[in-house]
Amino acid sequence: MLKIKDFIFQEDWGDRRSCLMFFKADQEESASWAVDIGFKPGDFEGNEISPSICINPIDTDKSDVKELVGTTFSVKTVEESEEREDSFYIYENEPLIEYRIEVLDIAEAKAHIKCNGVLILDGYAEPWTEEKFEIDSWIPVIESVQDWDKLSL
Amino acid sequence: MTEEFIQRLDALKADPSEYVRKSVGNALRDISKKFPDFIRKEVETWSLDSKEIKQVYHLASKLIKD
Repeated sequence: MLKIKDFIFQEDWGDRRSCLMFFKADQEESASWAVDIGFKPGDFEGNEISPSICINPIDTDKSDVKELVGTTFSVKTVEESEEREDSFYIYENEPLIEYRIEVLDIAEAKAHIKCNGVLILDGYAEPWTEEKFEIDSWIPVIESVQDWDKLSL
Repeated sequence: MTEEFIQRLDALKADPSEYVRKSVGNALRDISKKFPDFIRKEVETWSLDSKEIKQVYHLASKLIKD
């Protein structure tokens, strides 16, 4: 579920839009995790939109995805979000102003994610307009593309 | 269409801007969710001698490692 103002959107598992990805460490890189969540189309102030959030890889010292439970990560500036290429899509892909993401639970190849923060609603406005958002979603855990098939997604 | 898009991204894999290279790698990884074979086929042709291309390769191939 995504909440912006009083508008609610349900997560969309179709088209492989939503997942927590866990990338194991190898000889050259540490382990990392990333989150994509797409939401089903819904009304937002009279417009139909299909929001999505993309949180790019976050390095971790965990060796197993289940060890991510309790992990949090925060970005406090739009510059940091832009540098990481994190984005929130409302009308366009825009960096986030700030956010905090937490892995609350992982069970049966699904992750319970909570993410709160501030997004850019209209990046063309001067100055741009901002709004708070809250995400509380269960999404598939994906470690390789074969995992989508296991979940019949 | 997808293959053409991949080709356009491929052309930017050695871009001097790290920002562009990261964008290319992340976009290719995103495409690999639905079209892993296209991305696998593409990155297998890359020479990994340069650190720039290697960076994009690592980002693009995160979901398709064997």
